[in-house]
Order: sequence, then structure tokens, then C-alpha cells
Amino acid sequence: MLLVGFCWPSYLYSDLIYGRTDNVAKSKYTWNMTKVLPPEAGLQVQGVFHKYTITKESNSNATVSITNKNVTGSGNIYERHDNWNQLPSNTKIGFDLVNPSLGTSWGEGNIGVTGDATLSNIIVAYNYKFDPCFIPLSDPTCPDFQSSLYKYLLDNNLIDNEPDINDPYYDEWVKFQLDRKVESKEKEEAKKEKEAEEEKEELKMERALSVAGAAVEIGNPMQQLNMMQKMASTGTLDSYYNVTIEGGNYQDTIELKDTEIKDNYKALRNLAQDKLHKTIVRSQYDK
Amino acid sequence: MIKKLATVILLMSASSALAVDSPIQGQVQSKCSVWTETGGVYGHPLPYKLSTTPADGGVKASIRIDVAQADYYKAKFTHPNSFSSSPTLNDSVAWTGSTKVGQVSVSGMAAYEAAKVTYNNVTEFNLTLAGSTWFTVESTAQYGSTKSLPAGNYTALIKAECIAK
Repeated sequence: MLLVGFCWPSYLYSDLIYGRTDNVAKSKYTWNMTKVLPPEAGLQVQGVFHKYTITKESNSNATVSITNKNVTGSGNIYERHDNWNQLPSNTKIGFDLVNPSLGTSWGEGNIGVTGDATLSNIIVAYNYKFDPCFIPLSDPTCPDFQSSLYKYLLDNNLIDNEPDINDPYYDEWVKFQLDRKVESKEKEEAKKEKEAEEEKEELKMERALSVAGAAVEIGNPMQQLNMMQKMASTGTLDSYYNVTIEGGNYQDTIELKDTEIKDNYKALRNLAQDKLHKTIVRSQYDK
Repeated sequence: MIKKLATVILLMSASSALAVDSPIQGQVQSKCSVWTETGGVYGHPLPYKLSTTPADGGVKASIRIDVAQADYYKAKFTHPNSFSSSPTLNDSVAWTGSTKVGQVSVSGMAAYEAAKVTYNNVTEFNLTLAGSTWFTVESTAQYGSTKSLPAGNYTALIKAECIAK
């Protein structure tokens, strides 16, 4: 069963999604990041873009600050302070790369000016990225979806129990069960096929070994004793015992008519071939 | 004998490799780059006038200069004083123009405007800070005293340079 959970295709993959928020300072100088950033789990902020026009006297002092509070710690998670002391009015454009950090750490944002100046045409936007498969169960196309689903079902004891119809993964559970059945059926069929194959193979072997089986049977002492008993039974060997051989001289019946026995050249040739063969064979070892 | 000869040859070859020219290579890439962000467009508010001023129906050119190393470069802009292509003109053209600091990526760059040096149709800025600066270039051409410009296409070129100090 464990295998079913982990042998689903692994060719699925997920790409990171990059984006930028709308201008968060369009209508006010303070904004709530939870309303600004997409709600995707695992989203990370990786840059802050800003553009503003500062209007001031050249000989006055002013500082423009853009900040974001740190939700998970103290102070600010991001802050920028532009010093406009003794500088004329201008429009500033900037983009700050930040170490990617979870969007949930980014608290209230703010842009403001201290000193004798005003801001206008403000744009502040956040660049972010997220992995749509950060929670693998969020999408069946995620690479780890199947293993995560299996873990979820296992953790919630739902492998063999039907979940509540309102369970967020009810549909997936149904699919899982169907897949499981198909898998099980396929396995069963494969097993049957294998068994049939093995049986066929076994029969072939039996036939091939049938002679060897007979030999074994003949070699069996009990079988031999049985055979001997059958042979020794009355009447079986009597015909051999009752034969009478007449006495007298028995002359040779073989008569050699020729006076000369010719050499068997065929045999000699065979011997020569044998010798040659032996030489060839030995040559392999006598190097 | 052969062995001796081989030794001599080896010794000779060894002695010839006692001095070599070993190169040191390097590549220099400019730490200042110039980009045209918005090409200028002449408006034609009057028969004898061409102008990039938005009020005249034109578009000012916007040129961005990126500096990676502070205080090593100066920007030099030459606004046009002739057309690079135009119909045949039989009268003189009066040229005016200017270059201003547009947007900045560092607040301190706003000071470039006050420190710029202008002569003839050239404006120079001392790029003392690293970052991007957008420069806006305006150009106006007036034909004759108030003669109508011949119909056709007119093109004039702005020369924007990043020069090592």
C-alpha cells in the first residue's frame, strides 16, 4: 500500500510565480500589507519600488521615509530614508532589493515626509514571489501532491475510511480510492498472468525431467527389490535353469582365408588426425 | 651515440624554455551606460516652428544614465543645432534647447541640476553618485524669421555621452 502512495508520476513540477502589487500608496500614506499582498502561502517579498515627487524650497530640509513594520519582531522589516536637505524639488524613482522574507512578516506600511516639504504622485509597490505548490495539496498538479495526499489520508485515518463529504480533499480521496482499485486490479492481473506463466514453465520442465525421474525411480532400492522379487518368482527363471549343454569338442568356427593382413590405413589416418588434434589442443596450454 | 645526442637535444630544449611570455588578461566594462527611455517628438504648433514641448504637441526626450561607480563620470548632452534629415531648407533655422535633471534614483542627484554647466548647445552634469538619473532634453527649431517649414520629415539628433572624468 505504501508503494501506491509513492509511485505516482514524478514528472510534475511547479514554477515560481513573480508579481508586483498595485500602487499601495495611491490614496493614503499608510497601508495594511495583508490587504496588499496576495494570500498565497509561502509568499515572499523580495523588493520595494517607490516613486514620488517632493516639492520644497531648495534651502529647506526634509526627509522622506518609507517603512514597513516587522510583524514577527520588533522595529521595521523595511525602511528607507531619503535625505532632501538643501536639495531642490524633484521626482525620485527607486527600487530596493530586499532579502526575500515571508510576506506574513511584513506589517503596516507607511510613507511620510518630515520637514518643510510635500509629497505627490506617490507610487509604492512590492515585488513578490511565491510557489503555487508551497502547500502541495493545493493543486493536484503539484509534484508532491500524491505523497502529501497519502500522508493526509494516513494521518487522518482515511485510507480505508470514507471522509466527511465536507472534507476539503473528499474528491481527491475518491480519486485516490479509484486509483487504488485500478492499481490493485492491475497488480492482481499481473500476478495471475505471472502464475500462469510459471505453471506453463513448470510443465515444460516436468516433461524435460521425466527421463531423469524414471532413472531416479529405477535407482530406488525398494523398486529394485520389487523387481528382483518379480524376476525370482516361480517360472520366470526356470527356462534358463533347465537348459542342458552337451559335452565334447567345440572347434573354432573362425577361419582366416588370407595369408596377409593389410594395414588399416583408415585407422592410421584417424590416429594422425587424433595426433594433430591433440597437438592443436596442447598448443593452447604449451605456449 | 644516439643516446648522447638525445640528451643534448633535451638539454637544449630545456634551456630554450627558461623564459616565456605569460599573458595577463583583463576585460574592462564601462560602469556608466546611457539609455534612451523616451524618444523625443517634435510638435508643429506654428508653420515655422518645431518644438518638443508638450504644450506645443511635442514630447521631450528622456535619457537615463546609469552609473555603477560614483564620482568617476560626467554626463554630456548636446541638444541639436541642425537636422540630420529634412526637406531642403533655403533659410536659416534658429535652434534652442536645454537639458534638465528629470527623475533621480538617489535624492542627492537632485543637486546635479544646480551644478550643471552649460555652454553653446552643450550641458554637462557631474555624476557624483551611483545610481540612475533621468535627463530631459528639449529642442526647438524656428525656420527663417517666420517662414513656413517645407512639408516632410524632420529628424534631429541629441548626443548623450558618459565621459570618464
